[in-house]
Amino acid sequence: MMKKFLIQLSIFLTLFACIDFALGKILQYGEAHAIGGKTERSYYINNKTHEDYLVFGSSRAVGHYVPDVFCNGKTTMYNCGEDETGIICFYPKINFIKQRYTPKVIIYDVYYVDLLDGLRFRNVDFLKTLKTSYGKTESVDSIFWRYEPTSRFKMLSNLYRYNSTSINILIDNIRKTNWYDKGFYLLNTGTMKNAPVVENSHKSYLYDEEKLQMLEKFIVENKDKIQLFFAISPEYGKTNDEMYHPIKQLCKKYNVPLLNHYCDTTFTLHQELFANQNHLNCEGALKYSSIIKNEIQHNNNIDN
Amino acid sequence: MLFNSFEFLWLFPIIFCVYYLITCRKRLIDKFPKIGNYLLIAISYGLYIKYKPEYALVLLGVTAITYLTALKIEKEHAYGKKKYLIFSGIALAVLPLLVFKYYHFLCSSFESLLGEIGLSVGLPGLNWVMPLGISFFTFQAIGYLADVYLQRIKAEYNWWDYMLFVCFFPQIASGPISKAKDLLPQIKSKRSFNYGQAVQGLRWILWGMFLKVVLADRIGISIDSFNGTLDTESGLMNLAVALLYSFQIYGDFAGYSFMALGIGELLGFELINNFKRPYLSQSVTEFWHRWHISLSLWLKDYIYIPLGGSRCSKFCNYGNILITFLVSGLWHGANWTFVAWGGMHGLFQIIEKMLGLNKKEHTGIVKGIRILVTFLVVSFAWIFFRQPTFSGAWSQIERIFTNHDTTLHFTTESIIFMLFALSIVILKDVVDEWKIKQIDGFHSSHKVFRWAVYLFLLTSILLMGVFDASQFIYINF
Repeated sequence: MMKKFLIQLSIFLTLFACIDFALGKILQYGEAHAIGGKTERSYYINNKTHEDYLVFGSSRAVGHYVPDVFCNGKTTMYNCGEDETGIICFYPKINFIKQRYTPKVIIYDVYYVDLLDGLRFRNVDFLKTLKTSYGKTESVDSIFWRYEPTSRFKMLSNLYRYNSTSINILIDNIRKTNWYDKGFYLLNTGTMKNAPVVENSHKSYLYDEEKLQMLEKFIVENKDKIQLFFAISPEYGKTNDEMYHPIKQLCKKYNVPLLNHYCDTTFTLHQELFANQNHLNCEGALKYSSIIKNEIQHNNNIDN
Repeated sequence: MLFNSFEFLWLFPIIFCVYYLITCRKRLIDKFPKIGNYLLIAISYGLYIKYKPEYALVLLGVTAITYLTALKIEKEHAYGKKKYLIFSGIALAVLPLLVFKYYHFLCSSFESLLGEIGLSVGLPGLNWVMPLGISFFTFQAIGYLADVYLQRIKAEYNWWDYMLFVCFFPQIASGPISKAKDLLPQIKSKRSFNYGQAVQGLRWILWGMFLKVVLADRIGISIDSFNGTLDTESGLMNLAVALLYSFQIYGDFAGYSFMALGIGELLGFELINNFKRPYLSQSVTEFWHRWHISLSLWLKDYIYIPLGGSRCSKFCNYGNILITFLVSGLWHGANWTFVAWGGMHGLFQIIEKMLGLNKKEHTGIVKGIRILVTFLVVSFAWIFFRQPTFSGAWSQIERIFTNHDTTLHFTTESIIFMLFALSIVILKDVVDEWKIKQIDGFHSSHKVFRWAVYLFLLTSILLMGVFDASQFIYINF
């Protein structure tokens, strides 16, 4: 009876392995041929970008950098920001992208929350957009192994790589939705109605040293071939940017321009430029993008 | 060990193989007939120590206290002394539960009470994490003790058999709460591998995993992001969150229970099935015959009946129902909102009893209406279970009835995930309830159809399940 049980179970698991492989291939095809939506955007960022300028960062990057402001006849830009991600996602991502081409400029919008130690438990979540790129390059795989050692086994399943994205892949192959423009989109629309009470008191912050080291590696490995700019976009009501001290130190150490607008009163005193405390609205994003564009141009003129 | 973790996926097959490799060896069994039990004890305590080593002492302590007290009770003939022993035994066994779970609650309630009369007292706090499953194994051990006292069963003299009864790993974290008369004979008997039982066990694990990672966790991801902001959401959104939470807690708790059942079956044990399609109940009374069945039986046997049950005046009976469910509420959590939740269930059952609805069963449209009404009533009560404060609960209820905005803030993706999971779960429950054999994939006589259903569920689990080994809601108890 035990023999019969084990044989039946083995046959069942073998059948399942075949389904896993076949469905995984179908989903892989679907991902590569999506006609819009999150799937198309994510696939484009990981596998097809060829633009001169790339924007990295979290939701603040996604919604603050309008590529059309930067683009002219010569310059092209793609906003590769990902909501709820940070350096753990972008360090392997740039290595993956560099296998195809090397962008001229990277604007990395840094948000201090990404670097805090308290989010350590979510490090694995930050890799979710790279799951389908697993197995293609060691730079991506090694990050998975570091933060989720069991990924060596979990990623053997094709279906697991498409966990939580299968519905999107299906929809994005049927329906063409382009709510983004060269990667840019506003996560929060409208204008902030009630101005929040903003905390500006001095605090001590505990940083995730691993993430700071990864950020430093990001700079060291890319600064010679790519023009790096770190940017800190505005947050409503903020008058204190001490939480960005590690970023300032890193930028100073490696002579990387830091475009710090966190407490810029051009924005921070103007509720009408924000959708909520952390995110600019459309008007704010356009204004901010112009300022950043001018600063980059000015920096390049000085260098030249 | 959480059953929806990767660790379980590789560790349990090893446990299964080692267990049967040892227990299938005839010579070894003849020489050491209880070796299977010793192995299960070692595994159970090993897993518990892995969670928090020092808390294994709490488990051992409760086991030892109830074991020794039961022996003393059996040997004692004087009624007075027996009574003294049972109360002492229960008090000692329940002491860790009181300290770990209720100390903070009792202190803060006492401080609030004194505050009301103008006195300010600051009692020392305890910042200790609760031992895993303390509510479950304490109740299980106390139930055994009470059964010995009431002479329903004989005291267990074999320490190792009793130890396994209390610590058995599939059920320790979140139940079911087994009765000694059901589990001890299985522990004492010779168990061998049973093909049918093992297959049924795998079915339970598969279905339980689907309920937990696809239904419960998907809903959890969608609605937990609105914690703290529900008072800014529309009335329809508040209602949707309340109804979805009903399914989240069902998927979470029933999912775990079915997985525990399945693991027990794979190891040759029949544990009590804790859930029998509770949202298809026609009354709240019936709901408690289908939801957390082991707890309902425990409360009936050790609280409700000793209080007098229904063998007293009507008002006394209503009081007994209310007290039983207040205890149920308190068991679920150290917060007045849980007590209120329990009290509500008691009150609903009293009303049903007054109207004679608890014994009446309808068919057709009336049955459908009663099922729907019962579901809405239970979902309403779950609001108090979920919200940490009364003000939060009332705020949600107020918004449901007074805010007529119909904006829903779910993404298309999450709606599709939830609808998919809900459809499968509702379909299965309806099929099982009305025994619609033609579409019962789990028990179909056609092997291809059966396997297609299993493969479909497993594929869904991998594609749509949430795999961060999130805590079961009931594991907090």
